[in-house]
Amino acid sequence: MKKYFNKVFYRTASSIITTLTKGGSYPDWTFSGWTLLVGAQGSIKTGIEADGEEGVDGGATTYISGQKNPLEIEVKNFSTADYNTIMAAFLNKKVDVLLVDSDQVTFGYAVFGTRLHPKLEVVSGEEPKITLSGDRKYGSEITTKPFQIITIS
Amino acid sequence: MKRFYDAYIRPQMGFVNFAVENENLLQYFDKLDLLKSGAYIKMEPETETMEDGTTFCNGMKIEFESGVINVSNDMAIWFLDYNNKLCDVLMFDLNNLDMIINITGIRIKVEKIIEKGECVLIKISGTTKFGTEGLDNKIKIEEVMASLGIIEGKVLDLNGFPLNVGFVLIGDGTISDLLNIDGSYNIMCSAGNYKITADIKGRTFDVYDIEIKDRERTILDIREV
Repeated sequence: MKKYFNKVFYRTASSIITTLTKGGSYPDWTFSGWTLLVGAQGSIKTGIEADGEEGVDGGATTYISGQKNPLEIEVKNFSTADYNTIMAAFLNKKVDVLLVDSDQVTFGYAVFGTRLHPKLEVVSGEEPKITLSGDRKYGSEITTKPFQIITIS
Repeated sequence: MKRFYDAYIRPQMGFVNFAVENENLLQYFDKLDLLKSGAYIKMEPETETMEDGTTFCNGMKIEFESGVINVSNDMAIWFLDYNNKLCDVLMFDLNNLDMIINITGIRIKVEKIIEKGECVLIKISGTTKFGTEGLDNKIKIEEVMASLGIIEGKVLDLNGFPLNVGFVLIGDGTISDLLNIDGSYNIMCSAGNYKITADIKGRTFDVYDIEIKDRERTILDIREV
C-alpha cells in the first residue's frame, strides 16, 4: 500500500522502540517525546540497503556484511525561523526520525541513531529547499536494527 | 513560496545590519541585473563517515552563481575587478523580505561569456568553505519586519548621458550612494517621504520629492539642470 509521509517527527537519539502510542487527533497526531519537523515535507526516502557485498561460496553468491538506512527528507515552505530550528536540531546531532502517514497511522517507519545534514538550496524563481540526508550503517547481523516499522496504537 | 531574488555583491565588509535606520542598506553593493532567472545560493555539508555508522559534518561549502548578466562594456570592466576578490553577497525578494540571504567572505569568479555590440554577458560565481562552527560568521538568513523600499536609477547630464563620479543623497544626506561606473545608484532604506538629489562637483541637479514605499521599487533618473 502506498505511503504518504506527511508528518515527520524527530527526537534526540534514544533507545530503539517498536511500538508507540499516539495522542492528539486526526490528522495532527502527536507522539510524546517526539517533535514535529517544521516546514512542509516534499519527497521522503528511506529504506534498507546493502552496505558491503562480499563474494562467498567461491564467488557464486554474495554475502551482505553490512546494511545502511539512507534517509532523505526534502523540506519546503519554511520560514527563516524554521531554517534556524532545523540547523539547531540536526546539524551534527544524533537523532531518531519517525515517518508517519497521518491517514494510515497504524504503522510508522523509524530510523534510530542517525545524523542528518541539512543542505540549503535557494534558487531565484523556485521554492527554497532544505534537504536533510544521512546514512545509518550497521553490521548486517545485529539483532535490534536501527530501522524499525513501528506499531502505533 | 517561490521568490524572485535581487542579487548584489560588494567587496567584503561583513553582514548588512538591517536594524540600522537612516542608512543605505545597499551601500557599496553593485546590483547584478539578471538577464534571466537563475541566481542561486547552495549550502552543502561536507561529511565523513564515522565509526558509529553515521556521518559527521565537519564543514560546509557555499556556492553562489548570479546567472547570466547583461552589462555594458564599462560595467563588465567594473565587475571584472571583483574577480578573485573576497566579497559579500546579498540576495532577497523585495516583495517578500522574510528570507534575506547574506553571505560574507566568498571568493568571486567573473567570467565573460559573449560580447555583441555594446552588450557583454558575464557570469559571476563563487564558492567558500568553512568549518561548521563558523557557520554564523559566513551566512546569515534573516527575516526583516521593518518597512523597507528601494529607489534606483541613473544620474544623467543635460544630454542624457550618465554621470559616474559623485553621490546620490536622500534627506539630509545621511542616506547616500556612490554612483557606479554606469551612473546608476541603488538605495534601500526605511519607507517614507524624502527629498533626493545628486551631488557632483560643478553640476546642479533638481531636488525631487519622492515616496519610498514599503516592499516596493521606485525608479528615478536624476537629471542635471
